[in-house]
Amino acid sequence: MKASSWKRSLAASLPVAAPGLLLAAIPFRLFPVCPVPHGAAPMRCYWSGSVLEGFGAAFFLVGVMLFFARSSDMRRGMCAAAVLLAVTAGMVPTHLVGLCASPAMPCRIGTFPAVMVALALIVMGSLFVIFYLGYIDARERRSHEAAHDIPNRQEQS
Amino acid sequence: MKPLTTFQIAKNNLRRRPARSAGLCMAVAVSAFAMFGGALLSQGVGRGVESMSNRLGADILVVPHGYDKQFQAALLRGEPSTFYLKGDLVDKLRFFPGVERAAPQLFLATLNASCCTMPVQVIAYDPEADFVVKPWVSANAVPTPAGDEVVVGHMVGGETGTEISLFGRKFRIAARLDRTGMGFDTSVFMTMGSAKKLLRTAKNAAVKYEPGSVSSIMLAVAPGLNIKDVANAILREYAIDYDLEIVVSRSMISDIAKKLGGLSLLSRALAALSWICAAAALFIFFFLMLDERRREFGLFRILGAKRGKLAGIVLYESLLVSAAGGILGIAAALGLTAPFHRLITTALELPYLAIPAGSALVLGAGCLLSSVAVGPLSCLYSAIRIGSGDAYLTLRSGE
Repeated sequence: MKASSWKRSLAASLPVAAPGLLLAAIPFRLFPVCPVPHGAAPMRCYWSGSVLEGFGAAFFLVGVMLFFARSSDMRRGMCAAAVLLAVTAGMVPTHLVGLCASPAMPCRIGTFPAVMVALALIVMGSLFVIFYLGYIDARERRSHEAAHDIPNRQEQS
Repeated sequence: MKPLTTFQIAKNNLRRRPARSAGLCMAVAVSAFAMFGGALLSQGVGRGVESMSNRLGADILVVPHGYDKQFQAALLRGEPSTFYLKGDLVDKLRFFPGVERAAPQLFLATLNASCCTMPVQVIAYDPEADFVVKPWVSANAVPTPAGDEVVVGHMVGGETGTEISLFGRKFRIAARLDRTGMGFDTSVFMTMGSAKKLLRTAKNAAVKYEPGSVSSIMLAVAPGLNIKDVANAILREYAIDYDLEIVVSRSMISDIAKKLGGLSLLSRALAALSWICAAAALFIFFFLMLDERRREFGLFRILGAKRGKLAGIVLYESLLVSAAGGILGIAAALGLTAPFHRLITTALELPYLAIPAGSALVLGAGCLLSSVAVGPLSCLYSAIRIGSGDAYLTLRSGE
């Protein structure tokens, strides 16, 4: 693998994989959801946390796939899917599953903001990859066209 | 092709060295982050303390022995707790020498009984005797709740007019209070009569209640008297019989204000230190860069660029770096401080009331301005020195 190609793969992968890993670690490790009282049924935040952990793992896998994907179009498509996936993940604690009712609970003051920050990073990372790949492709296309213009000019002269 | 203006040259110079530009940008970003994040937090806590100080009209708070921390936690952060004092103490303190007014309150923590219902702090007050809760409940244009009604804090779930279930009994939400930044935001208010009735008829017997008990008594000391003297006299008289503890509200608020002072000082010191570090990093960088790029600038001069043009390039470079860093730092501070403010202030055990959007905007603009200024100010010396030598000799230097 060429150095530039390796760098590009890393630049396309890291902005999605790193916050994905962060998201997976938030609900039960970094900013844990509310503890389940002994013998009691888990609360909504526990199930939201489980779903979000799964989403985090999925984003990490998307990041790994972005590293190995060869075509820019495929990478851009995967990033666009990651943005939609992040929006869906954001709806898990707000609409789909929910959190504890009290705003003073750990899931509300710690887990929820941390999840939103991680999802914002994923969205920004995905958009960065989309625009970065677009910029790189456009630059390469320009330099390719310029390289092919030189012999034509010589022929003209 | 874009015209080669001073700005364009500076921009291209930065783009040509992305890692170096990103490093300088990060130095300014850290400074802006510390400045804006620290200011947001300390001003929010300052407003919280001010709000609490304005609302706590009592001079002395009487609570059961060992419950002063729980009481403060309930007031500051709305952490639910239940505790009792013998009710006959209220009348004794009402006629105690030096006490002008005495208002009992009942603190009840609802239960975390089933899935997804969380405990809230119920604060019951006596509308006739009360001089602490009632004035600011009324200031919110909220009427005293009737028999089956409650007034809820700003962050308690449920719309006005709907019902809330407390101890298995339904209450109508009569009104919602404005945000206070303290524990009242997550509390539910009802009259003492309703609370006692509720406790007698509560479906689950998880709340043990001795009829006539209260949780705390708030006292107003007669003007001109020393509050601590009155508090000591009450302790001497009733501490053993009633197993009570006294919290002097002014001391409590001054303790919190001391914590705020510490936080404020720390955030200012961090902001100042990071600003100085960023300025030093930029100064050293531009100072060294001048030597590194001596021949480049010499060439510019031979091509006809004046000293002002070269200084402009350096100033633009520093301005662009510091502007980008400033925006990045302020966005990061806003993105992290705003969502995590509750977590931070809970950990610090301080009340917090977010500053209005307008003030935050002004504060952000001020922080951005000082972050943007750090670049041009720190490279001013290098900009003045640039092109001072002979252009030809400068170009040949190092050969």
